[in-house]
Amino acid sequence: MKVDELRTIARLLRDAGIQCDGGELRGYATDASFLTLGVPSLIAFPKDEAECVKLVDLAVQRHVAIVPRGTGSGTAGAAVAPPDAVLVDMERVGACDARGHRRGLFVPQVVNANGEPVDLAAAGPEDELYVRVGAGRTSDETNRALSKSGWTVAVTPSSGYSTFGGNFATNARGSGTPEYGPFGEAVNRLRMVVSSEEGARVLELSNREEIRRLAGHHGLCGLVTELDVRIAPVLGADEMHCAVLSMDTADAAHLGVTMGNLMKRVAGSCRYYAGEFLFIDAGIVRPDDPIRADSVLGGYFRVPAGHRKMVLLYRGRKDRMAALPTIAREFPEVEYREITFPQFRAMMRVRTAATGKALRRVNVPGCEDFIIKDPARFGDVLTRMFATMAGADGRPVGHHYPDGVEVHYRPQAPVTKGGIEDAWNLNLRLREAVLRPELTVEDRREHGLGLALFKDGPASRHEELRRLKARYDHANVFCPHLLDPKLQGRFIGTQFAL
Amino acid sequence: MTETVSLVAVAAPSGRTGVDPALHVLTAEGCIQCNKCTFSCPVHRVDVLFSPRKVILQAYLGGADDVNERDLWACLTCGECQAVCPTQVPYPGFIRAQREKLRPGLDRAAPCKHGGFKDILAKIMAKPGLNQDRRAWIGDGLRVADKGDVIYFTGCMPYLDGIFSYCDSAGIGRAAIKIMNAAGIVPVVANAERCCGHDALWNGDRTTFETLARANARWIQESGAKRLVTTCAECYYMLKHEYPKVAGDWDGVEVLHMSELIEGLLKEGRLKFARPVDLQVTYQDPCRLGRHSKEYDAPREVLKAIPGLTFVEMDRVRENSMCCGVGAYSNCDAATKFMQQERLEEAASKADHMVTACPHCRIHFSCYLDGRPVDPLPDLKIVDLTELAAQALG
Amino acid sequence: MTFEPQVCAFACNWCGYSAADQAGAAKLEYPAGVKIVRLMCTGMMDPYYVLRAFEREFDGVLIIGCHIGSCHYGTGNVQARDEMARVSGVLNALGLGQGRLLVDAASASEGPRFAKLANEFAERVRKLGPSPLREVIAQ
Repeated sequence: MKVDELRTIARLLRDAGIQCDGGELRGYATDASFLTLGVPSLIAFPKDEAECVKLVDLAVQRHVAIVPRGTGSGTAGAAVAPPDAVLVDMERVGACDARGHRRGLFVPQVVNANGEPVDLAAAGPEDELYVRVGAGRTSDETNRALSKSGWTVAVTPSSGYSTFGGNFATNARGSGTPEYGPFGEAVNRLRMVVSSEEGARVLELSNREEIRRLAGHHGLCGLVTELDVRIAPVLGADEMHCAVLSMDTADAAHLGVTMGNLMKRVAGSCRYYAGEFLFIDAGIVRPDDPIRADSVLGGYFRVPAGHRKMVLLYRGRKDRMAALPTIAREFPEVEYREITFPQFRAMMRVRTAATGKALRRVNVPGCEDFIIKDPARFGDVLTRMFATMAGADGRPVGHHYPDGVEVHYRPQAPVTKGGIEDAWNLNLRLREAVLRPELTVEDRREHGLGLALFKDGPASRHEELRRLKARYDHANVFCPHLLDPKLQGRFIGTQFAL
Repeated sequence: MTETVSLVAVAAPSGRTGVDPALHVLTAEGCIQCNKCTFSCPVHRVDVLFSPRKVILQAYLGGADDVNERDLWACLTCGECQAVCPTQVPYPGFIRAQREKLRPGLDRAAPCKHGGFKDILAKIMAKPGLNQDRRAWIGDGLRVADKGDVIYFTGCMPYLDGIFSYCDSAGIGRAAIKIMNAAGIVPVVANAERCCGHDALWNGDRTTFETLARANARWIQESGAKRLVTTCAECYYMLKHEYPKVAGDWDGVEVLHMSELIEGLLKEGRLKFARPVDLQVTYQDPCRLGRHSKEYDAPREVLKAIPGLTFVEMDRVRENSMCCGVGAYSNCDAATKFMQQERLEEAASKADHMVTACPHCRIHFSCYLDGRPVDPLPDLKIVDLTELAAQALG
Repeated sequence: MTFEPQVCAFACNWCGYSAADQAGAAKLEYPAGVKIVRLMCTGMMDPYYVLRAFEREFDGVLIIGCHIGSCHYGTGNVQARDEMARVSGVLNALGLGQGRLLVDAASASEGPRFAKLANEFAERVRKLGPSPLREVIAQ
């Protein structure tokens, strides 16, 4: 953006009372995808829907593109703005008090499917309830706010600090998806600021079909400001079943075949809220981590040399998982144990840490959301994966979804040019080895890094997104770069070059 | 045009191409530049140019040594940022480390904003030949001992009233001894005691802090006492969490804040609140007792046990509690006054008395109520938890 | 004890310091250990200066201002006395009491009075002994 135009926009934003910043924004140049389109020149921090409306009015009138961003934890790359667009940090929206102060602790507003307020204390576990939250809220803080009442957000992605707006924009999956679907399925109503040719329009959507279609819009359609997000009860110990199944062996193929067949059997006979797995090796937690000394869980962290250990965690309603112990007995090499919910959470924390941040290392995204449609092929996939990965840092994790086994792997690299190049090349080799139709492996591509969706994605999906955009964004102000063929060549997709 | 753009190809400020420094921000401390810290920061609310996110980013772009003086000292180290940070970047710890590194080279040698008083006091108490008379404030009718199981650690209390004359800090001490005597405890108040070193540590003067810590740890450990009780949240945090890092773990010594002691004595039946205290109060979680030490409950239990007392919580409590506006005495300025007005207004909307569990919170808020306010003064009185509890003894 | 007491003497520009100047010009003797710091007015005295002097291992602090009623700025000397009264409490607790701090007055023409105050104070401090804050006690 030219400097005078930038200054004008900044001034107009400030006149409208919207906080903005044109200073050192290099930290906003990328999200978790590694893609950058340059350092943004201007960022706005609206605090509520009214400010979003003024912002969009301004964008339409001045013909300026805007790019919404949540926490910036996504690997899709859509939270990255070209320098001539205004980046809009949505984290404050609906998450501030009257002074504009964003606070972590808040009192959640709970509503039923008709949007009527409900007293959570009087609710029953079968009730269909939603929490009405600003788009800037995160799963972590909402779960904290709900925990005393014994409820939780129904669909929570692995990074609990992504915003709900972001979860909707990427149609995130995570814990709870087997029961409640991807995030778009768990939203009952939303408010969004879209555009007309004159300026901003505010929409309130409660048609589930429309909401479902919009999920995964990656910011193309407007600024989501408020959502009714499904919540689920945290069942008591007598109603909830948590289990851990683990196996370790030196033969990766055998591990994959066994666990894959196990998962196939489970998918056929059980319904669960969450099915998550991780691979444990000697260094996954620090030597002094208290979990090693835990009388129940400590054993999972002892892995014989040369072996690989896979740990599969399930959580769900007892009556719907009644078949699990019987199924486990069909696989004598798999150790089956029932655990408590706190123990389940402790193992999940290890899983999150395994994929998440490590100090002074960077996780190089590349193998995101590979879905193995037929779990029986898991053995072949694992063999190739481990053979390619040999010696590299980072640990694969995944989800067991009803539609297949989803695997993520991000090699960890030291923050040097050489280290990151090596990690990228490893990712490319992995994709080559594993992304094969004969293995029934597909790349979901919604979160594919470097805007893979927009660079290499199926034309049908591009068409769909264009239609959505035409419907909601008449002025073409929201992320126009994503569907601009001239710019799509600049996205990384599955290629990379330093 | 099909040039592929990637983060890592941007030239670093020094001209060398390689990995972009912004990437370091996202990895070295785990900061993901989401800005939640800034939006929770009480200083930022008053001074929009102050942003923890920017300080972290700038530290990794230009090197941490380029943090400007204002940003270095304006931070209250209250911890509100760390409480909301998704990746738990230890911002107060980062600022503390930077102060330690940069302070020797700065012009401002005595960061204490009250004329350097607290700073020089700590330095004097670090002198080995010091021979204090720390009991003059105790007065009649209260019993203290030279040896015993319980040490009452008074910190700077003997010195505060000489300077902060709008408060009666020694009154807190007298109340504490009264309560302990009532429960059959004759506490040790020792002349060997030194400043706990809180301000020295948080303002980057590690030498003074370690001298004080070692001196204190030695006489406390040698005394044979089993419990170390303090009415100050800062001393409590230091004795419990920082001293072990320098002087080794306490061997057989339990560190307690006065609220924890009172809670325990009530439970054991050694203390009874016989006299009703007819007030409506709210409670200010001190940063050092609350966020830094995670003790939110004991003071509340004490308040709930006082008969006749009506206790109303503010909106921002526990880990969301708002700082009194001054951290380690090194950042009192115009911004502080606005913060204090904001917090006192919130308190006044709930009660006519605000209870503090740290003498410094009380000093800072009282200073504001005593001085020139930025808006009509809230109608509020500040009272210390221990003094309130002593009133209820009957 | 035959140590040489180090005294930090704060003297105001209009009275105390001028008196010290006059004493010097008239070659009136006072101990070499009395070091003079000129202030515009003793009303400027801050507890920090007193404490800093002791931290720097002075054995005593002497403050010479204008006589009450004659302060060049009106009531600066009264403020000084009030402030120093508060500081005395701090010094007592620190074990630096017993008269290591003295506030007095000498007008511009009272050179001999300045010398007398300086001598008497230094002698008093000598009897009290070196400050306990001294890292190395001079014998």
